[in-house]
Amino acid sequence: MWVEGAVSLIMALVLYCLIFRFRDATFSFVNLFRHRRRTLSTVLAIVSGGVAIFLYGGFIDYSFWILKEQTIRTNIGHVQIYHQSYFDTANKSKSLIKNYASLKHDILTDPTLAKDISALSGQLEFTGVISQYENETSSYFSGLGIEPLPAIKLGAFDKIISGSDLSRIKPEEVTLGSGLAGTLNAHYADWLDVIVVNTAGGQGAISLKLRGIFASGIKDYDDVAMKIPLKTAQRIMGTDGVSKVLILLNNDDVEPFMARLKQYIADNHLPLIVKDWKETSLFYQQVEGMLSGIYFFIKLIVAIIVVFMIGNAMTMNIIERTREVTTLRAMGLKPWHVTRLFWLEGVFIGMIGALGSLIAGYAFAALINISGIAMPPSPGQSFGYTAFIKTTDPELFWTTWVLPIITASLASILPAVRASRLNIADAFKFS
Amino acid sequence: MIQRSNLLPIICLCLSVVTSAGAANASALPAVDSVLQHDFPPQPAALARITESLFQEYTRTGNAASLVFYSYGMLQQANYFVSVNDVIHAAEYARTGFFYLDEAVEGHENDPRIRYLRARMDAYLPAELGRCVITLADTERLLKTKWDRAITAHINAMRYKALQNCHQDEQARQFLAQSKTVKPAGDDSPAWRHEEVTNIIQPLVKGH
Repeated sequence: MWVEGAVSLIMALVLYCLIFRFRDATFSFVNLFRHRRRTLSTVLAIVSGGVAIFLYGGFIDYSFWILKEQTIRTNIGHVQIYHQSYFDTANKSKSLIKNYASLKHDILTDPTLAKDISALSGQLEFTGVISQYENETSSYFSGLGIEPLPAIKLGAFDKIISGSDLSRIKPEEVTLGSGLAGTLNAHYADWLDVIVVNTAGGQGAISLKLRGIFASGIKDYDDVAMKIPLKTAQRIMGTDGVSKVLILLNNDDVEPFMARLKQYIADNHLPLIVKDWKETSLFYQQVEGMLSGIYFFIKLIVAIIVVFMIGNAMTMNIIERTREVTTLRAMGLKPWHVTRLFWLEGVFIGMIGALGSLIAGYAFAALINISGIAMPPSPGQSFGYTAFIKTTDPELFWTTWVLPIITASLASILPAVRASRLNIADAFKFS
Repeated sequence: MIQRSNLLPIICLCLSVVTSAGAANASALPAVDSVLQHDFPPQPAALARITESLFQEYTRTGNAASLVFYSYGMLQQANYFVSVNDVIHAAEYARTGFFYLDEAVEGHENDPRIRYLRARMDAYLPAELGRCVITLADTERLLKTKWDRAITAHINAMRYKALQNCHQDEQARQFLAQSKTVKPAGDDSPAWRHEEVTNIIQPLVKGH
């Protein structure tokens, strides 16, 4: 908020000078060309910092975006609906949403909700033991019963590394995470035996065929995950309910949709609660916090560099132009008038630097975006991604424009005030 | 997610379908007919339209050829999204394409021509997509069906390619030694041959 206020004040002052003190503005601007080399080096320093802000800002914008999409599209969705007791009990069988089929139908036929929904799927979570008897191996697994068609979008970032996705036609065929498949030494078309404790507390067993192996990139998940068609999962677990309902939206307007969904739940007196993807994604929050901290640090360093560069250039200017300044004072210019002239020089340098930062930053970003930057895996992940510089965010342009101007304006104040306080007699000290 | 290079062979395959199958009489399926005669359009909006009309045609007629061509259309669109760095749509469209390609086969388990079309697509995809295991299963079943000599040679070539993609190099060498008809193909999908159009595509399009 203070940034907007400071920028408005600076712009108002510059505008005032351009309209009512045009000669002063022209004088200050033309003065920049009297010491071209110094002006150029100052502008270049500002541009270097501005480009760093633009590129890193665009890079973390893209990183946030891809991490967000990766989170949402690995079977999380934008919005999740849970039974209200879901987070109160460790026994997930006791907190199932019982009437899933009718809930799904009602949500998808509600005009205020349906228009924003891209995909909706129930998800039944369960655990058990999975065995590959031919290899004499068994392992613990974490099962996800999901609907195959919506799962195309909801799990779009689960990379299939062997075989196929789940099928609507082959309900007895499942997919395994790469780590779990490796543990079982299971391959495409192998038969697996699964034992679970169903919702009634009894045992359930079923033979399933391995249809595909996927890798989400999250090792802990890939080591235990089994995806299975929802209907089959419900049959094994002896329920027609689901643990949660995942909703993928057509857009990123999560909050308005959540508000409408909560209203719908309240109107129908349903024992459900709603969470958005961020609330359940601790990893995203941690990465966002870390990258934002680094970005702030870079902006701080650039601001300090600009302050010192402008301060230094202006101070040298004043020393070299002592005779000129004192002559102006001797001609009758008020100290405030001299301050304004020097301050305007600083602001103009900041504006030229900001403009140069935007042009150079955008050009570099376009160059980098031709092939992207190969990034190593994030902590806890098993494969990296190709990063790009996102240049569609207006805030990025705003920051790159504003930061050099504000810092240049602030850095110019002290030297400009110092210039106005020069003693007229000092002119005689300079030959 | 799909890498940029992964879907290029799909384009070659789809283009070659069009080139060689232009003569196919497909009046029962106007959308399929249109693709066979005029190719998938390169413009994204037109490509989306023809792909959607293929799906509507499948919904209306239930003809598996429309579903297979719809899958090809989705994969073409995925390739377009890869080219503009739209990883989300690329992933969604590619998965949808493969989903319906698999569904076409699984919904017509006993029709080896659909399975042949899937194997023809999968065999020449990059190994990292992991479709080679499906091709191996498909070609194993296809080789149990009676085909003419030329088609059998194609199936053998697909199987050999799949063995290579699955890094079963020793089995690939043995298979090459056993099957005298195998002509190792390159990485790109070969152009469709006359015998494939007459024995596979035309009967499917006509609903035989």
